[in-house]
Amino acid sequence: HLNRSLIRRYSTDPQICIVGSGPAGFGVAQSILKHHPTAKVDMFEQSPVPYGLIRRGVSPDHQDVKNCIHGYERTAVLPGFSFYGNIEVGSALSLVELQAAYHAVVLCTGAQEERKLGIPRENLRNIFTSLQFVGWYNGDTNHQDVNVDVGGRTAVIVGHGNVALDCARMLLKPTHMFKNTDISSEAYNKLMKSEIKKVYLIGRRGPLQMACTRKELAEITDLEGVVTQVDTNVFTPAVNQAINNKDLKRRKQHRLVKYLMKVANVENKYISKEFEIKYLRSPHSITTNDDVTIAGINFNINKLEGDNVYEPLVTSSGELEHISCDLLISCIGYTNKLFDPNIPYKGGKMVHDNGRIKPGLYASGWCRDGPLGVLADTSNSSTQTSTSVLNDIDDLITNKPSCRGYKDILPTLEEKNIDVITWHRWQTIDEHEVNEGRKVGKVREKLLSEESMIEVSK
Amino acid sequence: TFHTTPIVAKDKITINLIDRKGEKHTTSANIDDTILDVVLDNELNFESFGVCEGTVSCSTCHVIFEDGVYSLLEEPLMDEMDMLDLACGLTETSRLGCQVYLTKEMDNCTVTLPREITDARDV
Ligand SMILES: Cc1cc2nc3c(=O)[nH]c(=O)nc-3n(C[C@H](O)[C@H](O)[C@H](O)COP(=O)(O)OP(=O)(O)OC[C@H]3O[C@@H](n4cnc5c(N)ncnc54)[C@H](O)[C@@H]3O)c2cc1C
Ligand code: FES
Repeated sequence: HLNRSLIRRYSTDPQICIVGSGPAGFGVAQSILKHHPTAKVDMFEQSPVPYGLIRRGVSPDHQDVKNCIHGYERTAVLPGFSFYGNIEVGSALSLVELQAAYHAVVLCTGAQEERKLGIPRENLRNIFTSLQFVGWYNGDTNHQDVNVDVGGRTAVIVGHGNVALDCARMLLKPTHMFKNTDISSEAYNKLMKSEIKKVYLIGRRGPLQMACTRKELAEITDLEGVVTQVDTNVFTPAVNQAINNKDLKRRKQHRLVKYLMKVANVENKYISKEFEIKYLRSPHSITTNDDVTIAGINFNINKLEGDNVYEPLVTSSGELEHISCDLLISCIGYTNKLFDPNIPYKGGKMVHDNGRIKPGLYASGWCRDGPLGVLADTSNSSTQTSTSVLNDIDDLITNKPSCRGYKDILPTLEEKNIDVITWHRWQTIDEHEVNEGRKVGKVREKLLSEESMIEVSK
Repeated sequence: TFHTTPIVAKDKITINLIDRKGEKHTTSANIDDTILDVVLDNELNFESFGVCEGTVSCSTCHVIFEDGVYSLLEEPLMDEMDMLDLACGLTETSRLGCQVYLTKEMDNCTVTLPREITDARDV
């Protein structure tokens, strides 16, 4: 014991590195620095700018959600913390290099890919994944080349989650209501001229299987001039019975379905736009008149079977339904990119014990558990993962007393000529964006390319 | 005759907060403040607590009340219910700390933060 406590006192401070600067990464950083004041925490981010999906996912009209950034800013200025942006782990640096340089590596890389519909003619014009569409209006540098055409009348959104509702709201909510947000101005100007009058939200199962929340739904159904249409046949006696059961775990779904019943097909004098929620439809194939642009989409009509009203079996009735549309956005979920072939996965999640993949290698957030849940879930997983890191840290230091963290990888970065964006440089970008926004009455005007970010930060 | 101290003391109550690791923090709190105010004013620095700064947009200020105290509280409004539905480890006596205002009756009550939980649900 004497030996160990001596090492603890005289060896290097913990060198910990976090890959990814979203809520998971900042959650882990905050927790570690709170409980281990002498820890060195280095955060690597592939983009020149931080915050992951808080910046490029969360909708511009959900600015309150982005208040979490204030907490991240407080963490970022702690003495033990460093940010290194514009460094993609996997290309600029390898995981092996990081593991050699640090006592602990924590992966917080989120879910970077999106499921495709996997149906014929998915590559025609004006068909997007939510990653593309959301990235476009949120000024994500990776998705500025998409050419969204909102000149048609009808949009189909496939998916019944909150991301699908975010996309629907962008098309249904009066665009001027986004005016002072951090929406990309390009998207704003285009949406101002939108001709979309009807938005379908289409899911493969029933109302009890919708993954969205009542709040997100209400943000659309509360809009003036928007009428909500729902085929009330989906509110079967079994569904009606289920939603009146007291069950805390299902309360979210029960409240959602009760709300749906209330707002469905309410007469509305001044209808400017229609919002139609459809159930029991699986995408089958895209149709086109000119082999270039989408003209519509065929759906397989499904049936729900089995005794479990919450987890029914979905079977195809064999019938097809065609819906004409000018724009299609698929919001059927993100998937994890396999970060490293050596990390074990099972069912779309990393195999881990309280965030520990193995001693010295950890993960948190969407890359670990899959793209599920909200900020609160991600924060939760970070508290848990940081506890595992802190539990292991003394042993890790004992086993690898010579780690020097950033000093050890600096040569590689210099050799590869990587223009590292420090926290200070990000603050310059941040200030620039906020100032540019102020000029036009917005909370922020995002820079739309990595080059311009790097230029501004110099 | 100056009675300033008792008058100030009258507006204060004691609130016990149990953090995510099970540790108890005894605080002196102002009546009419929220639980979130208490956590911030006492610089308790609870992990991932009150992330949206009281705008009912995150549910990270989720706290659990004792049965007796819970029944004294006013019913949650719709927006609190919406966020509460997304809280991790929801219980029958769960509330959002940024939406619960302290009253005299709550003196000496114990409010518990949920422990770290892992199961993530569909967005
Ligand atoms: C469209 C959308 C809207 C949402 N809206 C809300 C909302 O309103 N409220 C809410 O509570 N939650 C919302 N969420 C959920 C919330 O965004 C997630 O819970 C959270 O962002 C997950 O955090 P994360 O850190 O795991 O991943 P991310 O936020 O994705 O962060 C991962 C980070 O890692 C970086 N990275 C990835 N690979 C590498 C690499 N190889 N090297 C270096 N860096 C890398 C990425 O660039 C990114 O910055 C929304 C999600 C989406 C998709
Ligand atoms: S602080 Fe976010 S909901 Fe209370």
